[in-house]
Amino acid sequence: MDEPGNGSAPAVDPDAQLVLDLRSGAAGAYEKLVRTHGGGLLRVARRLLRSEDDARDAVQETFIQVFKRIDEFEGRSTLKSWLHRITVNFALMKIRTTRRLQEDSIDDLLPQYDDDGHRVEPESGFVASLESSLESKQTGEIVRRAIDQLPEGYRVVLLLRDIEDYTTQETAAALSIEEGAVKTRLHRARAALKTLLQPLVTAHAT
Amino acid sequence: MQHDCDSHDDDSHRGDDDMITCREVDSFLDDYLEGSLPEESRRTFEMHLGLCPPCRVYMDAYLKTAALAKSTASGGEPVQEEIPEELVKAILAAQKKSP
Repeated sequence: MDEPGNGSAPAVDPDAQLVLDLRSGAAGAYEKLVRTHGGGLLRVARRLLRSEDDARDAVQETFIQVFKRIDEFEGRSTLKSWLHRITVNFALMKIRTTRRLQEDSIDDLLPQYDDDGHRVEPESGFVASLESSLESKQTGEIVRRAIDQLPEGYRVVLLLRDIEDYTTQETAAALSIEEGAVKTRLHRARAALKTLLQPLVTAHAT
Repeated sequence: MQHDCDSHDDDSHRGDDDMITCREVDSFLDDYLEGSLPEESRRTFEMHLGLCPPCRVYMDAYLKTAALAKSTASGGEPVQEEIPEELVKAILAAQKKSP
């Protein structure tokens, strides 16, 4: 019995086709790669780097590397993930060369305890979440600004773990620090961010 | 300003391995939230939370902070950003020059 044919070829993943085109040197493939993924990579770079010029440099370096190393892409991750990681690596290199990753103390933003280990700060808590009183776009902007206030070494760990979804191991490797240091910095970054956001939440809840 | 935390009021518990301080709660908070505390430690941790309202409030706020940070990954930013045209041109020009 003949199988009915629908005449349509199976859908090809656009990125998989793009990789093939890049490897074969197809005309326009590189430009297509840049236009398809450049915006997303620039957004990632802007999160990590505070300078627009640095962010654009990181993206440009990413595509230059990809052009040279496309044959090394083995397809174990998606093309997007691979590009993303390269951009993050370039951004981190930039951060390491322009500033020390732990130049500022975060102690003033951390919870305080007495000699017996009791919490001493008044804990009013988040009376209402920011989303309940503000539009999400405002909330996002407020949170991003608060994250930007964190000392660099803590800010980068928070961004990699909580926003870029790196594992502890991946973050440690990316920053060349111990996994224990990643956990400590992440905890302190979150605690400090809470302190920074607390006045805003309390103000908008009243 | 000290809080009324029943886990510390009784001096007989000082040094007791079953009781932990608010400071220790904070240091193990992420492990607790990730479920990676050993069973006995988890029980000790939860015992403190049961006796310490400020720590419960702190943990709630800490969780909400982490959630807010994660939400900035997609919330409030355009999902698909265009790459500026001048950057596209710069990248293509650099690619033409590279060996």
